[in-house]
Parts: sequence; C-alpha cells; structure tokens
Amino acid sequence: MNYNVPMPSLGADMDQGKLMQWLIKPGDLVKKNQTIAQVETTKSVVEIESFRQGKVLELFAHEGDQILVGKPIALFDVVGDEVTPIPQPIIPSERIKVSPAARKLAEEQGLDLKNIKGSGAEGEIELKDVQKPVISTGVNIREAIGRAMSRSKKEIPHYYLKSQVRLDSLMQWLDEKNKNLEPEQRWMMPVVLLRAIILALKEHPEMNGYYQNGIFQPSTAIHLGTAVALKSGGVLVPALMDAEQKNLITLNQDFQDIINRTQKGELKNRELTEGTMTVTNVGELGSHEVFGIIFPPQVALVGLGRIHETAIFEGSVVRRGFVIDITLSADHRVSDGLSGSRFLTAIEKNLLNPQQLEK
Amino acid sequence: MNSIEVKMGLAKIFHRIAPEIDFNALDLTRPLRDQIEMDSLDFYRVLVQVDRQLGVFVPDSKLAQFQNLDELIKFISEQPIRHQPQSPDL
Repeated sequence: MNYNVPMPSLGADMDQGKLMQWLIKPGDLVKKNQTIAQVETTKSVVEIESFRQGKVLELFAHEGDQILVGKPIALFDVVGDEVTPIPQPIIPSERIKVSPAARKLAEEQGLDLKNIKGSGAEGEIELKDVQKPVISTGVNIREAIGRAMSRSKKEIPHYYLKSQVRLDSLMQWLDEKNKNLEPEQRWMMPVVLLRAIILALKEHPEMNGYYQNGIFQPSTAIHLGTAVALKSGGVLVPALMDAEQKNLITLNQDFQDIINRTQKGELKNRELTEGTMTVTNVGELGSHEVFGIIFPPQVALVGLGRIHETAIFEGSVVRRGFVIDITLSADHRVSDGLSGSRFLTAIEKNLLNPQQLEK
Repeated sequence: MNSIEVKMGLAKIFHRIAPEIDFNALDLTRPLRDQIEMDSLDFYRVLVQVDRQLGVFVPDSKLAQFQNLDELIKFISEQPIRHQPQSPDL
C-alpha cells in the first residue's frame, strides 16, 4: 500500500519547514521511528522520524525546499505495519496559493507570503506580485507564536488557579542530598519540581492528554513538555518522553539531555509533537508567577515562578521561609476549578513530602 | 580562598561553559539574569564546576537568596574547601 509521508507539524506555531537533508533514498527499507530527514523550522533543526515502516519509493521534496505542513514529502510502500496515531497540534488552516517561481523569489528576498496579495486565479501569488515592492516582516518567530497562541486563546476556554507552596523542607532535603552526591550527579531544582508534577499527573489524568474533535483523550503516558528559551531567540517546548517511568536520577539526566539537544537543534519530531502536558518555568527568568497559554491539543499547563523568601505565619510566630508560586492554566471543556485545585494540592503535597519524590 | 581567587576561578569556569560571555564585563552587583542569557543547565554546570574546581558546594537554599554574583563570590570565599580542587585548566 502506498503511503504519502507528510511534512509533520513540529509545534502549534509551525506552518512550514525547510528540508535540510534527506537521510534516506529510494529503495531503502525504513523502520518505524527511524530518522529519515532533518527539517529546519523558524526556531531549530529537528530530526524527523518515520511513523510507518516500509520501502521508500520516491522522495518528492528536495533538500532546501520550504514545504507546508501536511504536504507529502515522500512516498513509501507500507505493508502490514501499524499506524501510530499522532496528535495534530492546531495549525493555521489557511493555505497560500503561490507559483513555484514566486515562492522561490519570495524566499530569496526573505518575504512573508502572507503579506503579499496574489493577482492570479483564486488569489494565487504570481511572480509579478512578489516583484512589487511590499512591506514584509519576513520569517518572524514572534508572528508565528502570536498566531498559534491567538488561536489557542480563541478555541480553549482557559481557567486559572494559583497556589503558594512552602519549600523549606524541600530545600533542606535537596541540600542534604546534593551535598552527599558527586558534583556531576547533583539533582537540579527544576527536575525535582517536575517530578512532583509528574507524580500529581498520575493521580489526575484529566490534566494529561489531548482534546481533539470535541473529545478528550487522556494519555496513560506522560510526555511532559518543558519550555526552553533558546539562546538564539524564541522558545521551544520539547517533551520529556514517558516521564512517568523515570525516577529522579534518570529524569535529572534526561532533563539535561533535552535542554542540551534543544539548544543544539538535535530534537526528534516526537519530542515536539507528542507532549501531553506542559510546564513553563519562568522562575529562572526572575518572575514570581506566570499564567500560561495552553499548548493545543493539550489541556493544561503548569507555571513555576521564582523561588523566593517571604514571611511565613506559624501560629503567632512570623519567620522567613522559601515559597514558590505554582499556577495552573487548564481547559474548562475537560476539567473545572475543583479538579484543578485538587491537582495543585497534589503537587503541593509531593513538595511538602520530598521523600515521596525519590520513589 | 579569598574573593579575588574565587572571582578568577569563576571567570575561568564561565569561560569554559559559556565562552560567549565576557565575565569581566559583568556588573557583579546586578542580577546575572538581567545581563546575560544563561539557561538552567548552564548555571547548573557552573555549580558543578565550582564544586569540582574550587572545592565548594553551593546549596540551592543559598542560591535562592543570592541577588547577584558578588554574593555568590562572598559565600564561596567564606566556605571551607570540602575536597581537593581539580585544576581549573582541566
């Protein structure tokens, strides 16, 4: 059976990608999850894995081509393999009609096709349209993020909750643990916080999964998206895959690995498309709290603020203590304030009993 | 270690981990995050190397209190060295 391999969406804000390099050729036998190409988005170079196994019949796309999400890039002959359903992030639905010559010139000049009015049949952009002087923003990450987030806010009825959690016992526990580890084995504070969220997600499946076609599909696997600010500008949200199966030690290693690969542009497409819930840690940037926008088709996002000292009231005594503000942005079509509060309370309970995190 | 030795050690560590940063151009009295872009992994690596090369463990509870690099340098210089430091040039 013939199967058209589409250009995958590597994030809600991606509507096209540039094929940098093919890693397969016609005649090759491709296994499921095998890396078949490298694609450059506005933010990063990503390795594309095949979701099917089969024989490569033809490569449609050429290295250097800019290709719209969903457009076939190769043809496989797939026999008897199982299709892995992949979540489809919300992507801009408008497809721009443009002639190849016009597209080539627009790319060469760094022009954004969305800003060019087509004069051809059905509004197709022709070469002469690109040759006209136009005001263009070119490829703009801010514009792409804005488009995706606008759509998320329009389609997802967000609700927001916040909890302030005392961290004194957690900090004391972490200091004691790290003091007795080799420097290179040190546990990172962000990882400890993620572990508390992962354990809470196990108890609250309504926060973990995809809302698609009017139906919520909870996910048994927890692929935890973690927002990473790129040194080159912009933000990527790769997922720590199967995070529920990892203990603190492996999570600590995987977290470092994924930040490293994000900055180097060595992510797998699964890591960018299959996140089931997202955490954004603005605390590292200095802010005390964040109310984030859900990354569709996910249904929840947890925001971690900056760990700081504040006055703690204990009976009639006031003392200094560490706290963190943890927020939840969640989809009202799937959960409500009560279940959201219980989820935040579960995170808090884990942080107040850090020994739980080691299990 | 006195604070000058700590500062020199930190400059070498920063150079090794984030060579794009000119450590000597940093204002040590201002928050680091307001001056440069370092992700949590970069800073983690700095702490690992402070432990490895300068022989001082910096706990997270202290880090959360520091407002700038000056406070970090002061803390390190006041701590006993807990193990034999390795050469910064490794």
